[in-house]
Amino acid sequence: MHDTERDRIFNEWLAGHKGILFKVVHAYAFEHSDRQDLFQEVAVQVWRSVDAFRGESSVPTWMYRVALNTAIAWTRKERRHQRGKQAFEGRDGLLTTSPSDGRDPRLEWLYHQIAQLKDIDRSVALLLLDGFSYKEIAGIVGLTESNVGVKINRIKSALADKHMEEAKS
Amino acid sequence: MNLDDVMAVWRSQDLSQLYGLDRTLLHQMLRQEQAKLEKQRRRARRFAYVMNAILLITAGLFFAIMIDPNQPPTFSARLSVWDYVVGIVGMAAALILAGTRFVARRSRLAREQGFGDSLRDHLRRRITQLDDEATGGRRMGLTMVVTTLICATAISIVSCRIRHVPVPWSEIVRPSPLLIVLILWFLYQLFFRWMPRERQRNLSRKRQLEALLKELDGQ
Repeated sequence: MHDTERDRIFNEWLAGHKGILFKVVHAYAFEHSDRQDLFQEVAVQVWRSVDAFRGESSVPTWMYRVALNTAIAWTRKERRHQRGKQAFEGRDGLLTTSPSDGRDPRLEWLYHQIAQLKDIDRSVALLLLDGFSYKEIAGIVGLTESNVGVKINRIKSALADKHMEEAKS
Repeated sequence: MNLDDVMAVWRSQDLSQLYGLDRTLLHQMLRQEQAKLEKQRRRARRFAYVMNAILLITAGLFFAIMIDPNQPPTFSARLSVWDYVVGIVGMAAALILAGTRFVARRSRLAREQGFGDSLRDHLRRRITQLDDEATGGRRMGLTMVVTTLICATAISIVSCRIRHVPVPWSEIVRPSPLLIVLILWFLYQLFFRWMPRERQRNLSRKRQLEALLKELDGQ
């Protein structure tokens, strides 16, 4: 594939679905510098994956698949290299923080709850919230549909319990 | 908060995005990534050319040693007609390998010259390339692999036969079963896994570009 063609497709994808990348980055990295780092990695992987896209799934499904795989791999790598990690604080970042005025405060609560989940459950939660079917989630994450169902029930009840607990206190 | 509320909260971020994006930096980063990819491709291309040259030079050199009129008569006397046949086949395979690569490159350049610089021409050029890759890729791959294998085998046989004390035909080492299995596995992967996958990818890209071209033609 020609590089100009790859760029054109990537820009189209980014214009239409950059929210997917933001959501994945926000759910898997918690420090500003980590988010910059993960976003950079996810963006590069999506750009590289343009070649491999065969149109068998929709673009959002494909982007979710690439972004989640990259994020999970990044999380594991981060855990391994936590000690020797370099500080990125001084580096310019690709992500600029948007004004949070008018944003629902419950969204941060939701992200906080998602952050408590295990890596794979986090992926399932993101996909569920973005309206993917059990079958699609199973295809993206690589689990069976029944396994996805079990995970979703657990996630739902964990969220409900947490909400009840906080409402009481 | 029930699931519908949660979904509504989740969807609210699509209206007010979590982040902004510095597009200039992003493009700068992608340019760096592209330069890295280009470097890898250049290296792979050079590696293929160097391997090709090594095969051609070695086969040529060994064949020249065999037909050198200055060799002592005892040298020519101990070579059989089969040694010359193997030498000629090795040389021919190396020449076909180099020739195929050269002709493929020339015809690709010639085809690309026929298109202009407009977006429509750019798309047509790419569609033609994808078409060629999808139809001729298998034939080209087969030629490359077969000629490389023949040439490498011929070189190894001839190298045994032109030694000071030649290895008799009956003792020339046969490839080990492991090597045969590895070669067969590689050929299977190449022709039945990697190439069909690449072909599918190319056809899908071609369909996308044709749709884009149709869209352009409709404008």
